[in-house]
Amino acid sequence: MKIDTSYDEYTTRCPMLGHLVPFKYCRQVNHQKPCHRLLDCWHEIFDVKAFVESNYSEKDIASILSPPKHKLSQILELVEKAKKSRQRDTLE
Amino acid sequence: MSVKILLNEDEIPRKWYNLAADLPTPMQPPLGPDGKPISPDALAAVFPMNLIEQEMSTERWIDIPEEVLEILYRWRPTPLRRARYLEKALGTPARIYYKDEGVSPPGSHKPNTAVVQAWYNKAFGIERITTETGAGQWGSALSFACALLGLKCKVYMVRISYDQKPFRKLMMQTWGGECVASPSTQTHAGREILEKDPDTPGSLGIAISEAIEDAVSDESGKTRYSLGSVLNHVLLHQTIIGLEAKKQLEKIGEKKVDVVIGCAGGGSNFAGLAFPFVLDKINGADIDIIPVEPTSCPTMTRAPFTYDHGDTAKMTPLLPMFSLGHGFVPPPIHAGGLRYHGMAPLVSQAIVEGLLRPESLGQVKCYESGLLWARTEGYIPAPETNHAIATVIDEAVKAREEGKEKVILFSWSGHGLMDLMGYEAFMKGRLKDYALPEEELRKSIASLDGLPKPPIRKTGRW
Repeated sequence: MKIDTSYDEYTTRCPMLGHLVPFKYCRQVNHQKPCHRLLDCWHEIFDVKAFVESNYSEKDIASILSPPKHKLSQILELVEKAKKSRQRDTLE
Repeated sequence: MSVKILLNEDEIPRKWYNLAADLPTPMQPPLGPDGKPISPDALAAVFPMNLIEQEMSTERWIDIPEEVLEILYRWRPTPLRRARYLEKALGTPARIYYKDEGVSPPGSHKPNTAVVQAWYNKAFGIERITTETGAGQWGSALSFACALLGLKCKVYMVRISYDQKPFRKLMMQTWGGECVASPSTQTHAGREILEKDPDTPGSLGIAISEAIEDAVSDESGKTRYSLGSVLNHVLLHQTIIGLEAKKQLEKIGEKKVDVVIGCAGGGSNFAGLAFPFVLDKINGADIDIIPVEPTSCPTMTRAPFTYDHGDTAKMTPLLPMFSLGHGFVPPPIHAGGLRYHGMAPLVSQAIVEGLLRPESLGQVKCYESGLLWARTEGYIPAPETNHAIATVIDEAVKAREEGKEKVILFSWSGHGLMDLMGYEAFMKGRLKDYALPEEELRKSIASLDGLPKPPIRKTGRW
C-alpha cells in the first residue's frame, strides 16, 4: 500500500522527545510504522484518524496504536536480545 | 506575608520511606514468563544488586547515605511555597501549599533519583552507566549525577533530538557525559537499523535497545543501565519530597494536612510527595490523598485490579497493576506525562486498600485551572500539573463552601513553557473532553480474560 505523504511537512511537538517533529517522523518512527501516539498528537491538526484508516490495515492499526510496553518488560526483553547478540558474536 | 518555607541543610530527611513495609496487605511480586516471581538475578545484568535490593525491599526506612546527602544539598531541601494569590482569587479559607521541585541544577525532580542511582552503582563497583534520552531531561540529570560521582555516563540520544536539541547535548557534555546520536554504529541494535535506513531519525525504542545492549555487552562487568521512572526504587528515592514537606509544614505550625494531591502517570511524582502522608494515614491520620488522572485514560478510577501483560504483544513480565487491558487504545489528550498504560504497583495496592482516592478530570477543566494559576501565582504549569491544580481548586472551593480552613498540599511537577501548543489549542477552543464509553471499557476489560488474576486482598480499614 502506498502511503499518503501529503501531510509529511506538517509539524507538531512530540511529548516524548520534547520538541517539534514533522508528521513524516511520526508516521514511520516505529520500524516504518506510526508512533502509538499518532492520534493523540495530530488529531487537532488534520483528520489523522482518516489518514490511519485509509493507509493501514486493521491489524496494523491495532498493533501500532496500542500502548507501549511496561518499562521493566522492555528492559528484560532487551537484555535477552542483547545476550543473544553477544552469544552469536562469540560463536562467529 | 510568608510565601516560601525553607529548611536548612541540617534539617534534611536522612532516610527514605518505603511504603512496601506498611501496606496492610503485602505487595504481590512481579511475575515472569513462567508465572513465577522475577528473581533478582534476572535484573542483575542491568542494575547493581544494591538497587535491586531496594527494588525488592520491605524495610520501612532506608538510610540515605551521607555522601548522597552531601550531593543533594546542592539544591535540597527544596522550597515549600504557599499559593496565597490563588487562595485570594478563590476566596477560600483553605491554605494551599506546593513543593517546588524545579530548583535542581538540571531543572527537574529527576536528579533526586539520578544522584542516588549513580552513588549506588559506584558503591557496587560500577564505573560506567548507560541510559537513553529524548530531548535530554533524564540524560542531563544522569550526566550531572555521574559527574558529581566520577562515573562515566553514556547517553544514547534519539537522532532527531540530537540534531534539534544541541543545548541539551551540550549540557550533558558539560557535565562530562558522552552523548551519541541513536541509532549509532556502536551497537548491534543501532547498526541493524542503520543498515536498513542510514538516514533514520531514530526513536526512543531504538535508544533504549542501544543503552541496554551497551550495558549488557561490557565484558568487564563494570557497566550498568539506569532508569529514571516507574520502578519501586525510583519511587523510594523521590519520597524525600514528601518527607521534606512534612518538616516544612511542621516548621510553620501546620499540625495537620487535610488533602494531599498529585498528578499520577506512572506514579513516581505522586508517590514522592504522597507516600510519607500515606504512612500517617495508615497510623490513623485523617488525610484525603488524591492521585489525579485524565478522564480519557482512567487506569485508576475505572479499571479493575488485575495482572496485565502490560503490552499488546503479550510479552512478560506480568505486573500487578490497575489496567484497562492490553487492547486499550487511549483517546487523544494533551497530557503526555500522564499516559502510562499501567500504574506503579505500590500505588495500585494503596488504591485497593482505600488509602488513596483517585480522581479523573477532563482536560478542558484542567487547562482552565492552569490559566487561573498562571494569572494568579504567575507560573505556567505543565499540562499534567494542571490535573493536580484543578483538583486543588475543587478542594479549595469545597473548603470555602463548607467554611473550613483546610490545609491542601500538592506537588509542583513542572512548568509548561515547553508545552504551549496545548495552551494554544485550549485557548483557540480546539480541545474537547473525552470519557471512555462503557462499551469500550467492557471490551478492553474482556481482553483480560484468561490471564492470571491475583486475589483482591484488603483489610477494609479505609
